[in-house]
Amino acid sequence: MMLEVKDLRMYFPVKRGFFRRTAGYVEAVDGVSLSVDAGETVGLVGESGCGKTTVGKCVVRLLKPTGGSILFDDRDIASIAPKELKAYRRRMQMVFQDPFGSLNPRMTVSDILAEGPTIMGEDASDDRIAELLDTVGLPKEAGTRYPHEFSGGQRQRIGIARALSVRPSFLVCDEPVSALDVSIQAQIINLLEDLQARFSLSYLFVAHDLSVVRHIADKISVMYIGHIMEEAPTEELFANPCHPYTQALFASIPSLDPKKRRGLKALSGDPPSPVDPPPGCRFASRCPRVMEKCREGVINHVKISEGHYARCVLYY
Amino acid sequence: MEEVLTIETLRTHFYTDEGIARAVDGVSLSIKKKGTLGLVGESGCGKSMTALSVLRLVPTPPGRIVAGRIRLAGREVLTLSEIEMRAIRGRLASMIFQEPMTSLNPVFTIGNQVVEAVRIHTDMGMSEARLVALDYLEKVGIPAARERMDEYPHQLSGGMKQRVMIAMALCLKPPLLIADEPTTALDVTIQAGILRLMKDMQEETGTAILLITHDLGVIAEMADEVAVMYAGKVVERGACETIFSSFLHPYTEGLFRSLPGRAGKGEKLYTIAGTVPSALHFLTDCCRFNPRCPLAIERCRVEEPPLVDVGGGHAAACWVRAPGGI
Amino acid sequence: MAESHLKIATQRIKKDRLAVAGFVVICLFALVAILDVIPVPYRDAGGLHFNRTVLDTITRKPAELSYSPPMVGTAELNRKEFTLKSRHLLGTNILGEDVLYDALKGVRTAFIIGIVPLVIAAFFAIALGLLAGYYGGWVDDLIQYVYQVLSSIPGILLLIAMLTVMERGLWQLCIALGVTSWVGLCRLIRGETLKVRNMEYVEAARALGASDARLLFRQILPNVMYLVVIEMTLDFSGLVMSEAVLTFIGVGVEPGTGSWGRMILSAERELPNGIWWNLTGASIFLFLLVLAFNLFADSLRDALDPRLRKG
Repeated sequence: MMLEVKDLRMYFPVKRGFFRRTAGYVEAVDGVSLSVDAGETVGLVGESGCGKTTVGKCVVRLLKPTGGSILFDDRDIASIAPKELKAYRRRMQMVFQDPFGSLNPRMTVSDILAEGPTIMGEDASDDRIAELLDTVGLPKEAGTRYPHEFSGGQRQRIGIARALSVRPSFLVCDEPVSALDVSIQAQIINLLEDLQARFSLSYLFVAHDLSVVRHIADKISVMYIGHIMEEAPTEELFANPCHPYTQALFASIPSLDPKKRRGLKALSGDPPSPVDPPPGCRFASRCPRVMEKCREGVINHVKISEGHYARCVLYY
Repeated sequence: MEEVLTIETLRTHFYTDEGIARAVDGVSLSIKKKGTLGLVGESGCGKSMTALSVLRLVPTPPGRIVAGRIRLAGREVLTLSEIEMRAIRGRLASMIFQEPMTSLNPVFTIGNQVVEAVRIHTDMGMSEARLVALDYLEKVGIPAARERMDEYPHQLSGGMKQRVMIAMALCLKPPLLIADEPTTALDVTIQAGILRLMKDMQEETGTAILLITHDLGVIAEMADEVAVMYAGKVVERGACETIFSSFLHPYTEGLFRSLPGRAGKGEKLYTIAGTVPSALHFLTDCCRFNPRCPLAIERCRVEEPPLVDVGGGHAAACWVRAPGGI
Repeated sequence: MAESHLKIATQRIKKDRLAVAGFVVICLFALVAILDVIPVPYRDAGGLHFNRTVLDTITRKPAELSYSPPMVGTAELNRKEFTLKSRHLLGTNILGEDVLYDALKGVRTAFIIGIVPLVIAAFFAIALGLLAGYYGGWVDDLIQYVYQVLSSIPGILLLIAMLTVMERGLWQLCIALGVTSWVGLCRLIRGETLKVRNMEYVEAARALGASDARLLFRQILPNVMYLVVIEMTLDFSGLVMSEAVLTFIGVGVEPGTGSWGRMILSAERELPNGIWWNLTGASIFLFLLVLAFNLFADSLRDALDPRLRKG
């Protein structure tokens, strides 16, 4: 197992008043567990505000988690010192969502790609840069240019090359194709799969687009307001979604057949605020099958089948 | 009049320092009364500019509508003065945009904004307009509308804001609603609600919809007819079911085949070779898609294919797949 | 060919004819200033002297006996006419010195006053602005406290206080002006740093193991520098004009230094005698340089503003 996240928590304090007293906490991530094996792609899906990006950032330690453990190659990096952390940084990297904001507009592509190796004390020569560019399908002339001279898809390739520049074994891909056109999405997804095979990478693929995740992930965890609601191997999840939220999610996806219009079902109610949320299941306020028990205490994960767990009272 | 909107060979060009960007370059389409036309294409194809041209909202120092006809509910839009246009906007056709964040004025309450929309085009008094506003806010599903009318946009979620936009757009029952990527910025569960709302409101007010999006799933759910745009031109059009089951144009095919759902697990996704050209460099006197087309023949490089009707209202512009015509 | 931001900015400015004209004027003035910096050593009975510059060699004229209007051949002293030793394009001042020469000598001072204080101010502004914006918390609070207190003291009083303590002089003036004018730029840089530090490219660099210092210098600073450039070109005119004012009220440059402020100061004695050309000469030069800078600075600001970028 390459990465094991156990009971991860990330709370952001809400500060109010003159003395900046902590008035409460935004429970962005509240007890998330997942694991990624070597060579595996794990999908983390959910809608905006569910905390999936926060999980990704915690895993690569761009944020220091409030609690829980992140075991990377059996070492808990959730709370290690910055000096030790630097050694781990070269093994895990992140691909960001926004092709426009993820590259420094004032640096040439060469400079951007050389940054990682330079910091790590590795080869940052022109040859290495050319090699990285070639890996992502860009010509070596791209090195002297600036990010604004490239299209969204090309910028995303540069971002991927940057992540690879320190030779990591694990990548968190945070919505890497959401901002791209459909035909470019396909190119980037193919590229990510090629790279995975070529460099034996493991991915934590964070996204909201289920069809993309279905194609690339081996197993999927579904998140809602800081909690994992369901996790299962990909095809099992699509064949047999158990949690009402997962079912609602699937029911909202437009089908691609005009003859089979679903008459999309909308979810009623409002999601709870992640600031000091109520006890029990966080989906209770919108769940079509909610019961008394759903609003009490902590809801446990229930095993549905091998590798398939749902956090729902219905399956107790 | 059967058709609520007819566009004939519309050309909207932008005059920039780097040259002329022919964003919309000979687009013709039409929408029947109470129908829904899905205008689909990737970024840079000209679909948003086509929509803006209908309401003459194209930023006019660099942009200009240089040719064509636009007939909206019987009026020739391109011949009207700006004053006459103002009377039309919101009344004969209204528009909702992708980012509800920036479309609503943050310093006015949502109630005020809907009331404003009503009062611009009618001579209703304040209280009468407020009743209409309240009615529509309830219709679009804003819970506790009477209380929430006095809330400000920042107090609402993205989905709620988009509902307010729809209320503003439809409260005058315009014959045409133009929706430019209305759900792209929203979560999929919220999207479902908005699309359903648009359909319901369409039933209620009898509005036709010009729905612009790059999302084929949304098109499948909503559109009766579809037009596919590439590089400033319509390359294929037809009934929604026809396009989805028997597309002709290689670009349409490419779009469908690149969808992640189409490839099996472990298979490579189909990709369209090359990239979308910039509007400054559209090719002329040839098929604009030919550099990226796997089926391109010699004729494609030297002559532009016209839109050819292949039967049942289905038309495509391709020498290989729709050679018909003279 | 890589399209650096400098290239983009240059292309944009070239389209604005007034800005280009302003830039040309600035270059001409700069040429004069440079000529006034290169020494031309000369030897005389007292030894080797270095206080003569190229500009002196070209334009210095011997003093006349008395003042004279522009472009005349003779003048009066004690009601007796005398012939002028040379042609004076702008006349001579009350001491008989060539006005044009004085005005040209003032150019170097103007550039020094317009640039050096800002360079000094920029150091403070960048250092404190970056730290305040990046670290936030108590660092931010402390820095904000410092500059809020500083900006509550009327600038002119602070200046006068500083200059009274230090000796009079051009460089002292520069330091005083620099130390009292960094607050505005610091606020701007702090604001921009707050925005930039949340950008994904900064996070990406952090994920690659960059230290705080590296992030500040490599990632954040290049993206806030445009503010410094804009501020420097905008403040140039204000500083040149404030030198004139400060010299006029007596706390500016020391006597003997060429400066438009001193020329304007002597108008106090000259105007009652009907001598208008000294003041006019100084004012024209001042006006031209300031106008040129303003035209150029406006265009520069638009060219450098990342929000107006098309790409």
